[in-house]
Amino acid sequence: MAPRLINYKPDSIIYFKGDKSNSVFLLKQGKVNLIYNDIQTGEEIKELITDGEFFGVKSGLIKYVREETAKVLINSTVIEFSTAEFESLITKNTSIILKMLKSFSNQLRRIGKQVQQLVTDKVSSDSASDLYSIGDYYLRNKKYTQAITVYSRYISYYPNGNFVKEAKVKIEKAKEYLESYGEGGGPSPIIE
Amino acid sequence: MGANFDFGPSFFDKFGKTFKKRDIIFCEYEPGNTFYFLLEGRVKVSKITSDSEKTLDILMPGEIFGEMSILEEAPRSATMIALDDVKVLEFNKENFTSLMTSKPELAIKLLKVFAKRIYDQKRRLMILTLPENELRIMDVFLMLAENMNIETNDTSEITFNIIPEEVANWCGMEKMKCSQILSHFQKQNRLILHSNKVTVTNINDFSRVVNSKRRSTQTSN
Repeated sequence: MAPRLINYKPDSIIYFKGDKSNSVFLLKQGKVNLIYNDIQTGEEIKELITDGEFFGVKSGLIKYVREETAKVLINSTVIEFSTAEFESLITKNTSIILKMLKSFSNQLRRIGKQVQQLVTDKVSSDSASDLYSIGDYYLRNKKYTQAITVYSRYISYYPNGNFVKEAKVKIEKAKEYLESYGEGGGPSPIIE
Repeated sequence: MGANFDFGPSFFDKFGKTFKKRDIIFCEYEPGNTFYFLLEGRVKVSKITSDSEKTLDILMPGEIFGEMSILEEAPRSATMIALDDVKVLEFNKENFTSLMTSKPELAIKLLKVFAKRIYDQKRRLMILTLPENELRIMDVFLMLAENMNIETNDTSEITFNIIPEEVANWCGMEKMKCSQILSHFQKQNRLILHSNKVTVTNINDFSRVVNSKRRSTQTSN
């Protein structure tokens, strides 16, 4: 099958929100609205698609349900690509991929911010000491090589960190146990 | 998956890295600005919570991981451990564009990973916009059911591989608060808590409650 050229009259629906998808559209000429509700406010949002723009990309690419309803505003011509056809098209036009990667990553950043704002009970985060305590976990569970890796990374990321001295001692301890008992062997190393 | 990914030896010379079995590729909380394409071997995704290690996923050749580092300078959210001797391609922000244009198949893969993540995050946002903690927790189970392709009008028992801590994480709630609500649900016979699983007795009940609330909140806005 080849990409299909389709003509639509005003008010036609190209697809409905919730429809299963296996294609991506390119608006050759005309005007199309993408209609959806804002997740947070429920407010209806209309996004205008104009000549030369792709739409239905995210859903079509991974064959998920459509996130919006695509409604035609004036006489319009669209090209429908199956997912496979679309992939082979963009493989030959990497600038399109880069543009889409940029748009997707912007969307992700935006949603990530919204998510962060709504996460009410923020867990206090101190990545440095959290990383250090993962080293402790491995040492306690006699995973000596992994403990050494984590402590060493802690030291290299945070050379002036609070636990550098302890991390060095524990690396030596892990090495000693690894040598005497082998990975996973020996009594549980005592750490405070 | 399991396909052969041969980008040529020069490509591997440039970007390739090998890890031995049991090596840590990166560790939870570690700062990171590289992402990976798995060429050979399996990689375990794990997280350490309340002093036990939980495997979240096992990645197979052809998969991408660490990709969030291209977007944000946040610490790694999980630990990646080589389950076999592993070969990966390692990328960063600097070589990203040249890589994406020279290997469009990789770029498309990444595009799909991002698309899935956008859907996931939007779904998470839907959970978080619910006005009450109880509803948020119910909606986490609805989301899990959707991911398993289970119809939420199903009235039979469904068991989910999830621990309370993860439920709390999904709804952005304090662990203790979440556990209290879960035990309360258990008393009401709405679910059964196992050691690392949760059985929901009637997912359709959750679906009705959440959806009616979601509709009423949206119209009142």
